[in-house]
Parts: sequence; C-alpha cells; structure tokens
Amino acid sequence: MKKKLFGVLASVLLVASVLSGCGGNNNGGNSNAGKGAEGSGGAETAQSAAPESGNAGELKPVELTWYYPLSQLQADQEKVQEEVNKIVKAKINATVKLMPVAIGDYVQKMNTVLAAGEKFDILWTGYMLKPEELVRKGAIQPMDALLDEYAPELKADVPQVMWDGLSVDGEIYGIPNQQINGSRYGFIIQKRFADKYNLDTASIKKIADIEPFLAQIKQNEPDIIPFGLFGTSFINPQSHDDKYWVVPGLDDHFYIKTDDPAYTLQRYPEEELDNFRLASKWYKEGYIYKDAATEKMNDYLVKGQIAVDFNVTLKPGVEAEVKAKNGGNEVITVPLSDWFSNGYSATTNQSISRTAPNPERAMMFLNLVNTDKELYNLLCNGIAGEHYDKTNGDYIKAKADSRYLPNMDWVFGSVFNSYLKEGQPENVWEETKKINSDSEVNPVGAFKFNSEPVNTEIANLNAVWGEYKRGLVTGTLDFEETWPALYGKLKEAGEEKYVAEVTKQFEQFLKDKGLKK
Amino acid sequence: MGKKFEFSKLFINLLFTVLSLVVVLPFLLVIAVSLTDEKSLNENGYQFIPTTFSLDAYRYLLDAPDILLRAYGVTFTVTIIGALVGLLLTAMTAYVISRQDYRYNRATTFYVFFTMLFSGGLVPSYILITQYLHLKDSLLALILPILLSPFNIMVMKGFMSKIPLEIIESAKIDGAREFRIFFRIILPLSTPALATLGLLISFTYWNEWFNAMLYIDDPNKVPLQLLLVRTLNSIEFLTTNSEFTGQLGIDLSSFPNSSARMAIAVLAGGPMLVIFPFFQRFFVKGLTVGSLKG
Repeated sequence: MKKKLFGVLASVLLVASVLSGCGGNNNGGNSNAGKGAEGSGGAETAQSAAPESGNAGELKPVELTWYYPLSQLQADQEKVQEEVNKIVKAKINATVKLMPVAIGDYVQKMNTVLAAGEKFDILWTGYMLKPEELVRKGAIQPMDALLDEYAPELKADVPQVMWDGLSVDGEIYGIPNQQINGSRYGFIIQKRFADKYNLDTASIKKIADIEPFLAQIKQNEPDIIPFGLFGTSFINPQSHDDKYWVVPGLDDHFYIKTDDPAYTLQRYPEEELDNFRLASKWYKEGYIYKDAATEKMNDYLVKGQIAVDFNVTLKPGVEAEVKAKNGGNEVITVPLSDWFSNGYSATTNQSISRTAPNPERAMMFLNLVNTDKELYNLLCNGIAGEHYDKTNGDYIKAKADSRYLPNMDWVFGSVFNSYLKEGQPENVWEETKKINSDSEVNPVGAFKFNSEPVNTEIANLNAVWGEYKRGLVTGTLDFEETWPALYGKLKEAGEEKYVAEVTKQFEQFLKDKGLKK
Repeated sequence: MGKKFEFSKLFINLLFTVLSLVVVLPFLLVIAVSLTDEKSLNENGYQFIPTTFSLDAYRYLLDAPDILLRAYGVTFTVTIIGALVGLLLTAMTAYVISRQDYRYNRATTFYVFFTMLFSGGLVPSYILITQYLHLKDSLLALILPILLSPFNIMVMKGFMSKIPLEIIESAKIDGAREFRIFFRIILPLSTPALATLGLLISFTYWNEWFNAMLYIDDPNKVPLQLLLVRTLNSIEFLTTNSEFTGQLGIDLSSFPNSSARMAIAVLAGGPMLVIFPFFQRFFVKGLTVGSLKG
C-alpha cells in the first residue's frame, strides 16, 4: 500500500517536473521571441525614423495586417488585395494583408487574437468590439501623436465631436468610419392603412397621438398587428418626447434633463416609467401582439403584418430601405423629433493594435483609405469593369455575378468617399453631413463609464432586468404590479452601489469638462 | 399456424416501418425545406412537399463552387490523415497503458486521464499553435490539436486490457519482439474497436470547425464545416442584431434564412451519411464485442 502511494507520488512529481520543464522551455522560447521582436522592433523604429519627409522613396517596405469583419467572405478577396497593394505600394511603399473575418466570428476571434498578444497592425472596432473596453484591456494604443504627424488630412476631415467620442481619458483610440451620426425617432406606417383610414400625419406630434389609429386597425384588420413592439426598442425615445438626454454607456436608465444647467443625474424618472405604463395600456387594448414577449418581430414584419413600427433612425431614404423588410408594402414615415446625437457613439472605427509592429505606417495607410477615393472604393466595391460598372457620374452598378461585393462600405472608412448606388439620391452625402453637423448634441455624450469597480453589481442588475425587461417593454407584465417587486430585486442586486459609482464618475466628468465647478 | 405467424410478422414489419419513418422523415423534411422558397416558408411553415420550389438556398451557398469544392478537399484530407494517424497513435498509447507488466502503467494512465480533467484553455492553445509551433494557415493546425483524445485512449485501453496477457507471452516465447506483437497480434485482434474509434475520430475531424476559425485565414484552406458555420453565424448575427444592421445598411432580405440552414445541413451531413453504412457493420460488431466481454 505504502509502495503504491509512493509510486503515485513519484509519478505526480515526474509529471510536475516534465510540465515545469516544458514551462522552462516555453519561457526560454518566450524570451527569445521577445528579443527577436525587440530586435525587429528596433529595426523598424530605425526605418520609421526615416520617413518623416513622407516621401515613399525613402520608406522601407513593410507589410501591414488589417482585421475587419465582413458579412460574407469574398471569393475575389486576393485579386482585390493585389490591386489595393498596387496603390498602397506606390504611395507609402507598404503592402497590406487584408484579414476579413466572418462577422459572426469576429468578436470571439479578435478576443483570442488580442489575448494571445499576436502581432498585427490594424483592427476594426465598433459596436460589437467596443474601443473603450479594449483600452481598459490594454489592447489598442493611443494615436494622437500618430494622427498629427502622419494623417493630417484625416484629422482635419473628421468633426471634433467624433474625435471626442473616440477619446478615452483624453487620448484618441480610434479613427471613425464616418457615416450618419444623428438619430430621429418616429413611426413607420404602412401606406395602405394610412390611406384607408385617412390618417392625418400632421396631427401626430407625440407618441401617444397614434392611439386612435391603432384602435382603428385593431377594430377593422383582424390579421394585422397594430403596433410592432417586440421588446427590442421603444425604451427611451429621449425619455418620452424629448424631455431628457440619456447618459450613454450605462444601462439606459440614467438621464439628465434637457433644460437642467446643473446636469443632475435622474434615475428612472417618471417620464421613463410612463413608457412602461403606456405599453401596459396598449397591450391590454390589444394593440401589441399577445405573444410579443416571446416571438421575433421579423417573422411578422416580413409578412407585412405590422401596421405601425417605431424607429429611432428615420434617416434620408429610409422608406426605400424598409419597404423590402415590410413584405414589399409601401411605407410612410412620421418623425416625432428633430435630429439629435449622442455625440459620436463609436459604432464603426479603426484602431491600431498595441502589438502593431508598424504603427506609423498603419496610420499612413488609414489616412490613405480615408482620403484616397480610388483606394476606398476598391475596398468597398472591387475592381471597376470586373466587379462593377460605372453608369453615370459617381453612380455604379454591381455586376450580377460579382465575386467581390462586401456591401459593407462602413467597415472600411468614411462612407462619404463612396460611389453612389442605384436609388441613392445624388446629394445623399451632403444631406448626411448636414444632419451630422446640425443635430442637437447630447452635452454629456462623451461620458465614458469605467465599469470595473462595479462589474459584479452590473452583472446582477442585468440578470434582474433580463428577467423583466421584455415583459415590461411589451406591456405583457402590468407595470403597476410589477415595478415594486422589480425595484426590490434591483436594490438587492446592488442598485445603490452602482448608482453611487456612476454618480461619482459622472461628477468627475462634469468637472473635467468644465460643465460644473 | 400459418395465419398466426403472418400476424406477428405483420406486427414486426409495422413496428419497423414506423421506426424507420421516424428516422427518415426528419431527413426528408430537412431536404424539402432546403428546397422551399423562403417566402412560402414564412407564410406556410415547414412542409414535406414545397408549395413553391426554389433552389435559392443552394444557389446562395454554392455561389462560388470552387470555394466549396476546395473546402470539401480540405475536409477530406484532414479527416483521412487525422483519422489514420490519430487511430494509430490512440492504439499505441492505449496498448502501452493496457499492458499489466508495464511498471508505470498506473502513472501513465493517470497522466492521460489528467488531461481529460484539465486543459490549458483557449488563449494558451492559441499562443502555442501560432507563436511557438507557427502553424497558422497550416492544415497541421487542424490535425494536431485533436489528434489524441484521452477519452478514446481510455475506451481503447478498456478493449485491449481484455486481450489475455498469455497471448503476448507466447508470442514472445516464439521470438516476436514488441513491434511485431503490436502490429501482428494486437492490432488484428482489435479490429472492431479500431473500426468504432476510427469512425468516431473521423466524425470529430469531419465536424471540426472551431480550430479552423481560429487558425485558418487563407481562403484556400478553409474546411467545409467552417464555411457553413460561418454562413450560419453571419445570418444569425445579422438577424439578431437587426437594429444595428438596419442602421448600417446591410440588406437582410438578401439572405435566405431557414432554407439556407437546411441546405447547410444537407451539404454538411450528406457525405457522412453515405459513408456511415460502410462502417456500420464494424460499428455494431465493435460495440457488441465490447459488451460481451464485459
């Protein structure tokens, strides 16, 4: 028995020593690799010291790596990359390795790549891979100095509000792929019903004004769902008719009053709760589908069964876009607000990896993508004559059997440089830019919450909300009955600690920005 | 007598007809749905006989046939190499730890067993493969990580330890050395177990896509399953994030949804369905032999 035990012990020791042996080797390998990288890094700084004049002839050739998501990987990817490299080689003597990742895999793949400390230069960041989170993980690097030195055109082209939106602790961590940056909420209504019941769109000024129309639909159209509310939106239309700004980056239950010079934080203001009350009422009246809390809206939308839909981005040309999704039925829009913007919401950007072997050249390349129209359109649409044809002016038409049609212009750079597609109005980019510059901007839009101190509480709160949210938003749960119980649970989950931390950081933010003494 | 006999026969036939239908009908439904027009799917739900016949889902998936063919090629290569090498290594390891006269067999068994409980995790594996072994964009990155499964080794060991030690000893007396014993005596005696595990291993390789997602960027080396999982993930992602995608201008209506999923199932599962019957007789034998001896 004793012998046996000894044997097991011996074997464990053996295994341990083998493992640690491996570890030792790994460490050795690691330090070697580190040295190698340092060596090459040194070489690169030496060569990047040279290009200050910006002349391609003096730059040593380097290869850049660029990760970005695509909804579908393209068959002619390599061909396009070759063409891209012809331009890039001529202008900054670099080549680019394009690394598109299928959009569904993007977050997991990039998290692994970043955690492993892989060496690469550029990555797309945005709504699914948030730059501020990457900053906290130390995965991407600040680019203020690089921008000033290597991308002055780009720096000037982007409005300051976007740079502010991409700053964390005062430093810029991303280059925005400029696109529409404003929101406007309102209703999308199927034209056939609006015509049939002579809907006077001018009379609809507030959310509640749609009620009589919903009642008509409910009464006369048994197969139609009057109001398309399935628990994914209709949370804070600037909490009920423009009285509040939502504080971004939090759980969407923090507001400040639009006319409050002191920027006092409001948690669950009455007007927000009124949204839930309204949903409860509409659910009882039968305007909201009875199984809304468990079904998917899309299943009904594509059949044209939804009469009125609420939307927060009624942008130019939205009618054409939504028509196909509404089962091919014509729609009209009824905007209820002016254009507003939460500053820049960092939906789609490029960042430079902390491990980038060539950050300077990466910045030069990004400058090129955002300023060289030919290069940008090559990335978006492929090669002229092979993947698309120019029709007239800036209009293009993709070839029917095109092997390069990513159709995701916003993933590469500023969409304002893109060729126009059929159906887009000629002045679409001027209009969009106008909206971007004219939107009323959330005064606290640049606030960035550091969630680290209250991560546990946030997870608990999310779990509680997860249980109730869809039921409340769709009105399936009666608000007056549910709210006291829900609020009790939120308190147990750490509501107060979370609020205290947010308040602390928010006050600090107001002070730093000079909004409050 | 004849009458009674026929009645029981009828009953048995009926039972098995029903059983086969239960097994076959879902497959048929999958195929039928994959051939149905997406719009009529939305309106009428799943039907065995499509109201509106459409090849759109396949057209969507087979957009570029060269990519799909190459993916089939990669999957076949990886499956065949992986299954053969994996099987050999599994058998070798299992044989060694099944030998009662091997002094450290308990320790080695524990070593194998230990890896079943603990693994390095995703990021260390990724670092190992990409930064130490430099296997990115290499088919080896698809083969090596799942070459040996401790579970398979244990199953094989269970089977081999039933082979009497006396056979080995008598072979030794006749002058056979270890390699000869292994290849000439042990392997032939283990055919049923080899066939069973061979099938399991090749299924694992056939269905593998996660490693490919991590390690393969070269479009020419993408295996079939990754290609299909990607399509599926993207459709899923785009439909569940429709709020964002609406804003970003991706046209969802251009993606065939349910029909594409079914077409994926047909394309991904089809070849294995064809191969399975050839393995099946070994498979049954492998299972029964194991149970008889136990």
